[in-house]
Amino acid sequence: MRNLYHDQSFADRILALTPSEAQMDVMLKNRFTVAKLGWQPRWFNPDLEKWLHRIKLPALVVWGDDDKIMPPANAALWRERLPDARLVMLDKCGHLPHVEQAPLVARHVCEFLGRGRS
Amino acid sequence: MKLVSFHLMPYRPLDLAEAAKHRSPWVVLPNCLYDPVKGAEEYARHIDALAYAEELGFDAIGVNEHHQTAYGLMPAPNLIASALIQRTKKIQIAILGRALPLVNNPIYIAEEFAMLDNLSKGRIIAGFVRGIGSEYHSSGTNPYFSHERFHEAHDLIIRAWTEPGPFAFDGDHFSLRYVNLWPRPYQSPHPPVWIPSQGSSETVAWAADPKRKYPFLVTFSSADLVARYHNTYRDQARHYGYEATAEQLGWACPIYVAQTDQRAREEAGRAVETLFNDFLRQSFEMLMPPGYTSIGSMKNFIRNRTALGGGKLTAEALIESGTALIGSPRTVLAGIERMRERTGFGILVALLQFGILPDDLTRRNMDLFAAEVMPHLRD
Repeated sequence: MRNLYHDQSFADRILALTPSEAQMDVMLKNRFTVAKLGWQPRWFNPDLEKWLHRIKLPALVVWGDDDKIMPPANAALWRERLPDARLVMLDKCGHLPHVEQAPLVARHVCEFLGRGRS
Repeated sequence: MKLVSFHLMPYRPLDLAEAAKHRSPWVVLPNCLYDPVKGAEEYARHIDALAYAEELGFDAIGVNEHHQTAYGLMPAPNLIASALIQRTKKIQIAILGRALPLVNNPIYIAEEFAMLDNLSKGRIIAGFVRGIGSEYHSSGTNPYFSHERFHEAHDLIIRAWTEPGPFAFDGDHFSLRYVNLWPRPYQSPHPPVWIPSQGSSETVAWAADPKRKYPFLVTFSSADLVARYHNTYRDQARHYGYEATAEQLGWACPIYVAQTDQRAREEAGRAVETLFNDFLRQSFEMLMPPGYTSIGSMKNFIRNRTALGGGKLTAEALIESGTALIGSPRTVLAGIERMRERTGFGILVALLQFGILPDDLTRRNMDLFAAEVMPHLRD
């Protein structure tokens, strides 16, 4: 939990919650399903990197510069391998930019989508 | 009462202070802390102590399987069982047990047990387990499918032992065009199957099923929990329409006997603390990977948070709760008899070496148990 966020107040708030029975069910179901799908083979296939060059569509890569789950070096790789990608590196942000810096992420996404329409 | 002498084969030379700097002695403890010269000596001494149980008149010797841990040096318990077969003549050898979901082809387990059963001329007891949570980290096996794989592997092994081959087996996890065991087991229809468990309700219901009636061994729990699990099994059996016998209920417990209570505590107190606080120390995430139990069991576990290693336990507390029986022959016997009155259990798996308990004390413990406790337990 703490590794997900740069700003530890997010983690503090979540860890302080006492989930209701129904919330507990949802959380456990989520965790169980993640294990079912991602435990073996382990989570991701590093071999898939070789296909990134096939994604020709415009792409927006948003990454937290303090991502402890997937370090920011990955972002540079995505930027490099995707033929038409823009990289936004968010300052003081962890693994969940859409939670930790929601308004900023929303602005970047809207801008990006707007660019696509024009 | 059936008496099993059991050791976990801990790596006793472990630098406990160094190990304490790591998250757990399971899965993540760097194996540079294992010294092969000392380890080889450990194997020799542990096997000596295990084989000694025959001389003392125990009914069986127990071994078990754990992976990537200083807690036990038996990732392949059948190898130790094989060594013990050569060292003994009559005593049964109980493998408590092999972790079925962790293998990709359970036929290998069926074959190994059948070989051991032939090598020993029918002295094998086949324990089946799912492996504890940490094993799903060290093997990479998906915990979500643990129950399914366990049940399917069990069905495949029993069929391989009992049905004429070759036949095809087509399951969700294991599919084999040819199942045709050479050798077949020595015992007919197959070696007795025991189910050691931490007491999940799903496992109790499955083991007590009239099709199986497998002996159910409760491991490392307080006396109250052991009694509760035994009686859950009894209730489950009644629900199925029969009365469980003493031979269906087992209790695995660290036991240490000395001439007086005080001396027993002095000699074994620190050792039993190292078993629970140093060798068993695991985080919740290690013990309970997602999907390893049902959502209901997981919620109970989270509520109780009585996870092993959930806080330092003192020898006094372990004795007080009946998790370990440590004392004079009279005290230890009283603890066993109390449980017998509460649940009518009939299999005692006595962990007579635990934690850092050295060879001389282990030997004395085994001698005293055999001389002063065992005779009173013979029905």
